[in-house]
Amino acid sequence: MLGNNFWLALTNIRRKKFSSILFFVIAFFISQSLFLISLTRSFIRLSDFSDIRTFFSTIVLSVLVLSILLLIALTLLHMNSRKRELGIMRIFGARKSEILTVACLEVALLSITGAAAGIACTVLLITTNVLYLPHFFQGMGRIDTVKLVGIAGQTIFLVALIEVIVSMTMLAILLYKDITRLTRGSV
Amino acid sequence: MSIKLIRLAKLYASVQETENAVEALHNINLDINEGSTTIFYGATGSGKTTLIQLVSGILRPTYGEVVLNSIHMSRARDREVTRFREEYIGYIPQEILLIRDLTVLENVLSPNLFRNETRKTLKKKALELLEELNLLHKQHAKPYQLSGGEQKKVMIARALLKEPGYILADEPVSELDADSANSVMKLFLEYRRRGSALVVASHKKLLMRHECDIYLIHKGRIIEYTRGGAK
Repeated sequence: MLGNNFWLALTNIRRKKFSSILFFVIAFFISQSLFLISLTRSFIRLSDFSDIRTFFSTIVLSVLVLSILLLIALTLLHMNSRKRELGIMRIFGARKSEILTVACLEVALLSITGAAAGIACTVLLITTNVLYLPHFFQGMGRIDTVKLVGIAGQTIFLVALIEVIVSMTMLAILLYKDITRLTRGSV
Repeated sequence: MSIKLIRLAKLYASVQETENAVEALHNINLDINEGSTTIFYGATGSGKTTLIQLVSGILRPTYGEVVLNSIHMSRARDREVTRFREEYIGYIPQEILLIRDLTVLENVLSPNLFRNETRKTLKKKALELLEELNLLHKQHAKPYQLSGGEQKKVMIARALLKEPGYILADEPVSELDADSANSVMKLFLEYRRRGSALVVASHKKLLMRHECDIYLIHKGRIIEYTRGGAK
């Protein structure tokens, strides 16, 4: 039942505080860089500031790549620490698909909230001029809110997709091990 | 006759221990019917645990047949076996298998949440079970705050929550004091009255007063079969 799955996911988030916070933070950074990339693509005219754009994109892209690497490392650790409880759930009749659903809900919840926070933060930084993007404001005349919201939504979706795919792959690999091996804790 | 049935025929199983596989069970044949009690009795290391794990579908046999409710384990897909386990089997493992950072109540609930029942009804049942096992005052404690016997009782509550057709208990009372053991036994018998089959592996003679099939296991072979209990 969906309600039960939701409850399980929330319980897991609550008790795995450290990894939950990390999932959130990684979503926060990935969404910031993705959002900035899409923004510069949509609102700065290509011909005008190409050198600044390249410089800017390089930094943003490297942040993105680093975050994804960090995400992979985190999921490895996180899933490994949960091996035992996966075994317990399997022993008591949880199907692989059900375990995946719960974990998927968990990661989706964390990454969506993280990404939303990241975008909110970026918008705040741009509007308060902490993140100084003069060229962004030059193109400001043509910004319509619908497009902006569209970009934000797209970014959130992308971040959630990246996090869910990475963690689900790791989990699926774990789930294909023997049940008795899972509970004994030896890989 | 009963529809639900577990049948083991010409069963051989080996267990991977470090490098070389050890033959844990040798030519086991037996049936387990609904509402019956089966006891595997034997010294430690005789293969009782392996047998219980085979019956529950956690392990798969090397050779021979394990038939769970017309599912042939050696040929069945993992999904069907898991489904059967979810539906019918309440397994009480020998070692302590509890999730460390969930409370007692959450531990009892969480593996049962995938069934088609609301959390509210499950919680009500769980509280009743904990009350019967005299654990109600510890429902918000974490497993590591409990004694070994109490942890065992939590696992018993977890297994019984879904009212399983088969209760597979691996040394359920060996760590319990006499009072707790009696309350657990009372609970088991209550479930048997409702139609569950009891399968118990033990090196103690606790359940043998009641009507049951006793298999004496030695080094992976059934060396003696007796019907216990006068009733």
